[in-house]
Amino acid sequence: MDYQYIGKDIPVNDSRAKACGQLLYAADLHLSGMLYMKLFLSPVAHGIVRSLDVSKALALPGVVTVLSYENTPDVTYNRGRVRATEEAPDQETLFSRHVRFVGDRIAAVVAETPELAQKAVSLIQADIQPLLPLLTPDQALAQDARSIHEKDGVVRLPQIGYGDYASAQGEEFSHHTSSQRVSHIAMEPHCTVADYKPASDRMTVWTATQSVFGARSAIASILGMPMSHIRVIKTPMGGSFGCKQEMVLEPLAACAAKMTGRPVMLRFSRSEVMLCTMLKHPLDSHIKVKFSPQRTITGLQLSCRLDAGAYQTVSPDYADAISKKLSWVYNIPNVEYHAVSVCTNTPVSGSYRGWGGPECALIMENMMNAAARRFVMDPIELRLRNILPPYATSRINNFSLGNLPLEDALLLGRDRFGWEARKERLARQDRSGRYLRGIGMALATHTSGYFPRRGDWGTVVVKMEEDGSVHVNCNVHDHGCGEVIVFRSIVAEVLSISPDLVDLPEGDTAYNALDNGCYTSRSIYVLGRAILDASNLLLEQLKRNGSQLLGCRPEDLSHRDGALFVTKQPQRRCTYSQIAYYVADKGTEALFVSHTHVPISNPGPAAAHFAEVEVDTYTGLCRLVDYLAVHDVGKALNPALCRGQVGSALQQGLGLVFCEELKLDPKTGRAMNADMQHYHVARACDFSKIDTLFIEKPDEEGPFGAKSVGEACYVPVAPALIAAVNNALELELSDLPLDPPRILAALARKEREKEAVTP
Amino acid sequence: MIINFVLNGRPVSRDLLPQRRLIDVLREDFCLTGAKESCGEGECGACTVLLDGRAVHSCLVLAGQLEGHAVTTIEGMAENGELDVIQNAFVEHVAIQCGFCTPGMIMSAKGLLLQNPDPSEEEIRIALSGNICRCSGYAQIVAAVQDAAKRLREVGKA
Repeated sequence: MDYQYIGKDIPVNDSRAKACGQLLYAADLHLSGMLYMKLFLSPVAHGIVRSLDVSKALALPGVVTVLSYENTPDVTYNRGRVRATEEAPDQETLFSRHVRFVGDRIAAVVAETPELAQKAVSLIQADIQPLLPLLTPDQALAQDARSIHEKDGVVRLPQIGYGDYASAQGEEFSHHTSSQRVSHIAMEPHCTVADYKPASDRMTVWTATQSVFGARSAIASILGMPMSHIRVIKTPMGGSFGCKQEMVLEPLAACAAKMTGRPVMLRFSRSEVMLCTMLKHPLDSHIKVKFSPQRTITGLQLSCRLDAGAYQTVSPDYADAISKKLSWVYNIPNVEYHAVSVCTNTPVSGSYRGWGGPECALIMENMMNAAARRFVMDPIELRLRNILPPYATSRINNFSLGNLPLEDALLLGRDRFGWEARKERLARQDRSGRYLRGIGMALATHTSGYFPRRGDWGTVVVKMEEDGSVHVNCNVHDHGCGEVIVFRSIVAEVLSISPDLVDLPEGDTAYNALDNGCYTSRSIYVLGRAILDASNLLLEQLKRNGSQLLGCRPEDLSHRDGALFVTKQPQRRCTYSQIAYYVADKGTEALFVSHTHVPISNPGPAAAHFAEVEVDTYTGLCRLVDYLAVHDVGKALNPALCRGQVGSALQQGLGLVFCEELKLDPKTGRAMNADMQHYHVARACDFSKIDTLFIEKPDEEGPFGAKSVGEACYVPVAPALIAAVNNALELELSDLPLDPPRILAALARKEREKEAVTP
Repeated sequence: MIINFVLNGRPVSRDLLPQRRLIDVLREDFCLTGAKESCGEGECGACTVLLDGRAVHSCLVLAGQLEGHAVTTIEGMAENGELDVIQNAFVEHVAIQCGFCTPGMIMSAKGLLLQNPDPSEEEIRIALSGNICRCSGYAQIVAAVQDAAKRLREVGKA
């Protein structure tokens, strides 16, 4: 199919403004009379504040007020809750006397300048009675985390699965995987501006959030305000990857604005982002898998433990999500899943790109690669014997996974990566040298929306202006990866007008219909389809009116470049603008469509990733040599932006595997590297060429056949890289990160074992 | 103290505390919010500007160091609304996603091309290694800089 705008590499809509430094992010906003808020954080991992002395801070000229647990609402909430009806543990308050991690909020200063606020924070004195900190899940489980929370300090999920693992036949294979605390490092640190007008009791909040309605709901419930008095507007987002999903800053800034009656900006420093928002969960997992003599899986038993940090927030749901993804790639007749989410006196864990998908793949794909080595089988061959066929039904939740071309992804990738040739080349490498190379791969899928979970829909308004340009109103939350330009391209394709003539502002509770926000990679699949359908309805309306204007039947009309024409007599034509004026003059209707789309499917996008890595056995440093990502995207609506997603996934995956870890002092629980000087991410010089191959077999429901890509591409990265390292070193490493100390220790252990065997 | 320096081609004279950071002076006193703060310690490059044609982190430069020097920010790159060659290359190569690293990335690229009009891919990657992008994997950014360098050489500007 030949499209005008779909499938084209169109730059992100606001890229010219971004290139000129003109786009205003939340931290660039300045309101008249704006105040600045700075948090006073707990210096201890666990304790009770006996007394709080804020008098010196208040006495500092320019300080307007100090907020603390003494003068703010004592409402417990869950920062991850989007709608009030969601069941989730309520454990958090705006400020707390009982501090549960180094970085927990005790108080905050609001002052005329950021410098004054910072200075005043240093004048606050807290007398804290220390409590025994529980810094690891083992310590916390020993007493059910009761000293941290009276209730739900430990959440054990009921057993999930199907079939009966115990009766499954075959050879049992056990494996263990663990991963560490990682920060999202979205380039834009969190920032919220809240403005409250006491006379009218109206609150406006500008914030880079993934859910304007979630932020509104949190503010309304904590401050006891009617939702209609609160307007939350999403600002341009300098990246999220999940870190701007939970409601952390919005209730705090709104509370400060309400108390002062003035606009308040709360902006986190990088350290505060790393300590006081969310981190990727430390994960510990044990898996047992039974294989038949033909090496097909007959059963799987998985036990996962998530370190939730000081508050459960979304962790129980996260633990649940890992199980959902167990039956989306391989045909497994018996599954038994156990999970526990444990609170500790450490920074809070929460949503991170993929919501359990990357964790599931890390466990499953590490296991598959280790099993292939055990069985002396090619890892691709082992997968070919176990993958689900197209249109398989997920055994968990019972829904179709769509055309799911897992086999295509494996075979195309094997061919394009030159897997067999690389294998032969590496088998001949000199293993006595300093540098060793290895290859690895991993297979995955992901969601394209919430279905069959309820509560997923997309409501869109599309209207045409008198000049034929178009406004679209939809609760979009672009993280910076380009959803807005893709949505504009969808409208432009349907109507055959330039995407530049389509305006599509983002999330705003005053103008959008209720909607969850940007979660679970749903935007393109759910909102994109809603926008496509609404655009088609507008086109129908245009044709109905155009047919009156041109004296023909609607079905006689075609459209191109902003005009309708009689298909068989193209000279009989009228522009959209002429129709818009005709409709306005007629005065009986508006060129305005409101449409709600409710998805009835949730196809899994298949992804196979292949990596070649070189390990320096002297330093333990690893270097990426080559990378191939094969992605079933249904249809690449904007290939350049899809490739951008893959590159970004690799950037975060390289970090997860090789260098990123927020380290806590094992005695005090204090972060040892909560800044960019000590927390390292992959840079331009760490990358090699990334090859991306798209499989474009259209999905039935997605817009133009598209499925999700944004999280799917992150899912298989880590296990593919780990496999390449293990292949290079002939080791079985599966505890992340594979940083130099860990790699050198493993090599030394291997050397000792060799010496023990060789007399 | 009164500090005299050149900002985006125009001489300015301001009473500034010498210990203030350049990024704060630009953002607060001159409303030039293109330079972004992301790490505040010279590690991420989001606040990069040019000081006498060399890329520097504006979070690590103090107002007192500016006397007699020339500062160029991202806002000083476009002329009469026309994007500079590097800015255009970033747009056309879809090297801009969330955009938070973009101003700093473009200023680093400008600093590189002023020093080295014909950089190799490796030289570009090293020059941009002080600028973190979390959205792209850098491929499009490197391609944009290569293309901008080529175009600048063609018009003989560099």
